[in-house]
Amino acid sequence: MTASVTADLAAPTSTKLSVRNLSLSYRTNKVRHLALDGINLDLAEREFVAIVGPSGCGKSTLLKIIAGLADHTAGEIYLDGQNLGDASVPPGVGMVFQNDALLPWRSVKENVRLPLVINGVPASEQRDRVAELLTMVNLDGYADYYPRQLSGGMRKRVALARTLAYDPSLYLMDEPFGPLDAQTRVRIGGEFLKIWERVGKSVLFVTHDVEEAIALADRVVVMTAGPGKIKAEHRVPIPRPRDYEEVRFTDEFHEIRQQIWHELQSEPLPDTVKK
Amino acid sequence: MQKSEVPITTGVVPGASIAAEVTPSPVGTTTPAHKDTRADTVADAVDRRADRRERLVIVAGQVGIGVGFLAVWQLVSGLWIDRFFISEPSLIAERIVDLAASGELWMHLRVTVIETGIGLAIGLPAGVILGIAVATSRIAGRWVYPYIIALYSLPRVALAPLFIVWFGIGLFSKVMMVVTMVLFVAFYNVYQGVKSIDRDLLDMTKSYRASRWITLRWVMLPAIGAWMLTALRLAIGLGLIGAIIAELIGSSVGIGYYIKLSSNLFDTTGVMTGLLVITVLAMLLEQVVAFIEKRVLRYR
Repeated sequence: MTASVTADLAAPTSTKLSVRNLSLSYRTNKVRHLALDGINLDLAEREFVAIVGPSGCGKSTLLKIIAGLADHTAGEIYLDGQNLGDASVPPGVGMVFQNDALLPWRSVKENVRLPLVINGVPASEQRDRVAELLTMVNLDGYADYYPRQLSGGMRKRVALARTLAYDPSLYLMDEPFGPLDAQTRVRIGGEFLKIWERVGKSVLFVTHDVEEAIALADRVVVMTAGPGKIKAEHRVPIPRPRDYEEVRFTDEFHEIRQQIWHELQSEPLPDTVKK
Repeated sequence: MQKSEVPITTGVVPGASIAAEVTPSPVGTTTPAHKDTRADTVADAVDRRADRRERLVIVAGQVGIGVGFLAVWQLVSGLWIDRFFISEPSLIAERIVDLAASGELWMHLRVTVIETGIGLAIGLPAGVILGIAVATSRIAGRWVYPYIIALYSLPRVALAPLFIVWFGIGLFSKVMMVVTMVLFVAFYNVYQGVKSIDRDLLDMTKSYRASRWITLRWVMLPAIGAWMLTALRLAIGLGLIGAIIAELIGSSVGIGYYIKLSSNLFDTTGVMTGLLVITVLAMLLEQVVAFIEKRVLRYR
């Protein structure tokens, strides 16, 4: 409520990302499949939006399309009001991949340094920046390790530090905590939430974990499968800063979770297994 | 029942995990944080001894097979089979000493090594560049791919006489022969290597809007490193074969020339000596590649 004054002032320019009537269809075995059907989605500056949905609903594909890593068949994507062309990689968009995408032949510090090299950060600043980021994700002392020497949770931290190094204005996160075990998943999620509340950039976060989505996001978008559509949207009225674990015991949390479960349960199971 | 202590797994000292508080890791996974300081010296010594014993057994076996083979050869020669056909190790050793003393060995060996070296220096980079170009281009790569396959299946030996007509009897025709032998190995390995690069890594650099050069340096070349080393390994052997073939067809110097000369004189010992020299050379170069491999692929 208190933020409404400033929010109104910033209103005209505050839309970070806008997806309009986005559709994707493809052919296999002479049959045309509709993978995404008329997706409309807006993301405000500094907003955290989570997309939940069953596997195969096209939520990851949606992220790839926005990141310019995949084509779409119809519709438009606007980033900061600019219409993005077909499969062009927009600037200032950082993707966090499900399986880390770390370079196995580079040490932790080199992996984190890569975006700085790409962005042309002076070599003298790179080292300090990397050290700073590794501290931020609790990886002090691991600078010279290689990815294979690290646990899944630590690799995830490296991937996070690397994306932070790129310093995007929009984070696209594709089930980033997916492969982790439940315990690590909650721990990393909590750490990430703290970092995000400090950095405060727009995030579009794809997950199949409903609780993770509610605990992290300002808004949860529910997608359905076959074809991928947006079924519902929920604003999460839990104030920030949040405690990633405590938040799960609030009434608001339970209420939203119940609604989303309901929406997901009324969906038929996906008939095809995603490859 | 009341004692619900966490079982201490052997080798992991609780509390020795220095960074465990700062960087918690999932239970059950071993991370560098769980460094075992207690049993370091003892366990290491045991490990080292086992390693050393294994290595000794392997080397002894390798040497044993070689020595056994030579011994049987030496015994059989002249006893069951005429020396004229198979010569004998002692004669070959004698010949090598003679050739080394007269300087003839170095003269021939140097030429063959130079031909192979130049051929590798041209053929390998050419194959690598071609492989990357074909594997990364969506259209043009597919235009030329079938023709590269077609050229690969040409019997290169049959080209040797043609090469002499085209490039003369000197160094150049041999170098070209080596190039045709090694270029395809490099091409194939690199092509497969690029095709098998983890898609996510390329997507990652793409999403960061990395330049082609950075993608090449940070992702592609390291990703195909192992493939290139395999190519190098195969290429050394094939390159030597290429040089020898070209020398057999037409030359005035080189190990291949020496083999041909000996065979024209029905000098089996000479032929065997030439073959042995080439084999030893290939083995030595193989060791060099193995050493490079160990250093380059340390991250594994």
